Order: sequence, then C-alpha cells, then structure tokens
Amino acid sequence: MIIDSLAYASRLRTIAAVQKLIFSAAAMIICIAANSFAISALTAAVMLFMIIRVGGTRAKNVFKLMCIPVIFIAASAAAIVVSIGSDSSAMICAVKIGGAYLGVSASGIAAAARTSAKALGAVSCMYFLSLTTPMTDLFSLLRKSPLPDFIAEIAELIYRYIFVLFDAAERIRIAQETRLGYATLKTSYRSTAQLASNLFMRAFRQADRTYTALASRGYEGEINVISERQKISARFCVFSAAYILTVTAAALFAGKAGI
Amino acid sequence: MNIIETEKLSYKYDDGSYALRDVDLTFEKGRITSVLGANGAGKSTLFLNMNGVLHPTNGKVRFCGEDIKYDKKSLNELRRRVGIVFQDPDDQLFSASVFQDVSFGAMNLKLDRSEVISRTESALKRVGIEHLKDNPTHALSFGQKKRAAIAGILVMRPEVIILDEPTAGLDPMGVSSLMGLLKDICRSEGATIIISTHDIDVVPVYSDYIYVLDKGEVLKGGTPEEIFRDPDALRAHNLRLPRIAHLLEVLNKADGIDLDFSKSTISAARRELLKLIRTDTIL
Repeated sequence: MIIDSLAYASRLRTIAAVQKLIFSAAAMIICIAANSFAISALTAAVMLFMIIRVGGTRAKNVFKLMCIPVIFIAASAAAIVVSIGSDSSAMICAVKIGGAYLGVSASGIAAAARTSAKALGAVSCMYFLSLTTPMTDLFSLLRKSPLPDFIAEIAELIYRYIFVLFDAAERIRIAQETRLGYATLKTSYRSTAQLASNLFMRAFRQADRTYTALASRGYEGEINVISERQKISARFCVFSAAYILTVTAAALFAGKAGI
Repeated sequence: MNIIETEKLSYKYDDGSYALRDVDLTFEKGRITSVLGANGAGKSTLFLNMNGVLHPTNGKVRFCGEDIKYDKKSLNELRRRVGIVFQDPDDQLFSASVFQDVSFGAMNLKLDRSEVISRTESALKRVGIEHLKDNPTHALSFGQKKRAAIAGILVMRPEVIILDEPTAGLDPMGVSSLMGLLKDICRSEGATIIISTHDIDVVPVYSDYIYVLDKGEVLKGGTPEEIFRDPDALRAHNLRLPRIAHLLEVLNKADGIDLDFSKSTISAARRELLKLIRTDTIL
C-alpha cells in the first residue's frame, strides 16, 4: 500500500484526477502507437520527471517501485532477443543445437530494445497516475463515469476493507507466532490454514456489522457520498495540451525517420 | 419528557436464548443516560432495538410517545432521529475517504449539495478532526476513527445519539476529551445521549441517570448517587463502585467514619471530605 501513501504526499495530488487521467492515458496511447524507441524513452523521462521533480516523490521510492515491472520487461526482452533459425548468418553469435541455431541477431536486439522501451514508457504513464492520485480520487472519478455505480461502490468497499482484513490477518499471525504456530513446517501449514479459515469467518461477520452500521445511517441499497469537486488546473491543462501536441508531432517525425 | 421508552421489550436470538427479557426503560430528553452492564449484558442488542435495526420478539419501543413502526418510511425517519455510534469504528467507516464517509448520512437525507458540505464540515470541526478530512480512513488512529464515526452521526442532526462503548480502547486523555465532547453536544444542542459502558469511573462524572443491566434484564435505574448507594448489588452483577466511592466506602465501613459513599465523583467526594475536616470530627 506504499503507492497510495506516496500519492497522498505528492505535490501533484491537488490537480484534478480527471486531468491526470487524460494526460497519462493520452501519453500512453501515443507511446504505444508511435512504436519508436525515442518516443518511448521521452515518455518515460517526462513521466519520471513529473513524478520526481514536480510531484516531489523521492527518486529512491520511485525506482524501487519501477523495479517490479522492469524485472518482467527484462524477462520478456530476453525471450525476444534470442531467436531460432536454420541459418546463422544473420546472427551475431549462435549455438548449434541439432539442426537449428539458437542465437542473437541484430534485428532481435533492436526489436527487444524497442518493445522494452515501449513497455517502460507505458508503465511510467501508469505510475504517473497512481503516484499522484490517491485511490479515493479515482473512486470519485469512477462514480462520475457512465459505468454503473455499484462497480465504484464495490471497488471502494473492497479497497477500504482490505486494510481492515490485513490488520486482522496480521493480528492472527502474530498471535499464532507467539505460541510457536510457525515453529516447524508442519505447524506452519496448520497455522496458515487456520488463519485463512478464521479470516474468512471474520470477513463474514464484518460484512454483517458493516451492513448494520450502514442501515443505521439510512442505507437503502445505494451508497451516496459527496465527492468534493476538484478545481481544474489551467496550468496543467496547458501543459497536457502542449505535451500531447509536441509528442504527437515528434512521433510522426520519428516514424518517418525510423528511430 | 421521555424521548425513548421500552415496554416489556424482549429479544430472542435465533438459538432460542434471550438477549433481553421484559426490559422497561425510559430515556429522558436532553440528558445523558448510561446503561451499565458487564460483557454480554445485552446492551448492544438493546440499542439495535431502539433504532429499529432489530425487531423486538415481544414488547414495544416508543419514540416520542409513539410506538415505532417497521415500514421503510417510518424506519428511515426513526434512524434519522436516533443515531447509533458503534463500538468498533471500522464497522462504521466504510469509505476510504474521511470526508465522504462523514457525508454519507447527510446524503441519505436527500439534502442539497451545499447543505451536505456545510454539515459535513461542521461535524468534522465539532469532533475536532477537520484537519484530517483529506486523509484516507485507514491512516487514522483509533481515537480519530472514533471521532470520525461520531461526526458521521452528527451530520444527520439526530435528536438521540446512542453510543455503544464510546470509551473502549481510548487512552485516558482520549476518554475525558470524548466524554467532554458528548457532554457539550448534550448541553449546547439539546441532544439526548445514551451511552453503554462498563467504564464505571467515567459513569458518575457524565451521567444524569443510570440503568444497570445484567443478563438481559434491568436490575436498577437511578441517579448515580442512588445507584452507588448499594455497592453489594453492583458486585453481585460483576460491577463495582467507582474508585472514589470505594475509598469512601472503605473509610466508612472499615474505619467507621461518617461518610456518604454514594458520592462518586472527585468534586462530590472532596466536598464530603472537606465537610468532615471542617467540622473537626477527625482532627
């Protein structure tokens, strides 16, 4: 849940969620559609700049979070780089296995680099949104969207009670651990099973109590809450428009130049 | 005037055991009434019967002199006027945003947007957590969550506020500031406040009237002085005297000093002791 607390601390938090959503979605679409190494790198650089320099999120935290997708991207890049063929002339280096060659070609490296950069650019757009916008703002946005309200309601209830259940699970785990519940592999299995079933029962009781409390406050099947209107930032509007126009133009140029 | 009355109220659980049996209670308007009882005495069940969440198995609950009805419209009206603050604030706070959670009750009253916002803001201010309105609910401390839960009820401007164990889990400063807040809400807004608790030292300081409940039955009702005049009856039901009153009782019974041990607050006990000192009966 570190992402959410970083979002709360971000200086870009006060920008209306809808603006940030449009900006990050547009940037992501351009990045993917351009299919260019240069544009992908530019997108990632701008997003990281926005998160770290403008938003004020510590670079260390951002890079730590970035490690997660980078591991997946690296794994898939490795799969793209290595190719199999009957001819090794296009390959920089190759190993012969039976009648086929397993090797690395220049075009393979280029494709892997382009795909990785594109994925990284798209992920950084996502991170821009999630590191500057708390979940509660996104829920408000979801409520205003044309999607049925119950989707937003369920999403929000799940999000809220994840914390309550996490707390409960942690307390049960500690209670078990202080009584040697995880001393051996065998007891660990048993303790984990008990924790899971216990938590399941608690979730049921919690749902019951929450329903009662909601009913006492006039719940009639619909969760109505006020969402504070966020002021649209003119500066961010201008910035987004300028970014979208410039990068689209750059993408067209990059497409022609083939970079 | 009695704002809530119960008449021979009984509530039976699904397993056939009784949570409440022939409970007759009256709650006077504009007062703080405490319902004292050990764990499992039936306090929470009583409260849920009082705002129509649970239906009595037998007997009646009256609000403002009229039997409560259980059709949807009457229930909504009742719940607007009788608010419950639950013991565990995590049961009540369903929203990840404090501001939105507090606004929920007001939104259900179908008020104007501006009215909802102003009520939400003033309720947050009233309980002293207006600086936390933009924080996520899960980042609040237990005491702050408790205050948020109270704010969530205050926005509905109820005539009766029922609080189930409001002091449970709070630190000593938290207890006195919360009880001070409740007393203030009662005095300045004329709200009727009903509290369940087993925090016996707090009871005489803030209560106008006390009921003692045990195993689903009402044992006794009276002012704090009346209740604490009979300590043996309390002890028979897993309760005790407040510490102050207990000291006076020991001085009275063990040392034979003429003291009224129903004086259970510091100020009342102080007066009692000063009277003794000034009349030089011990010096």
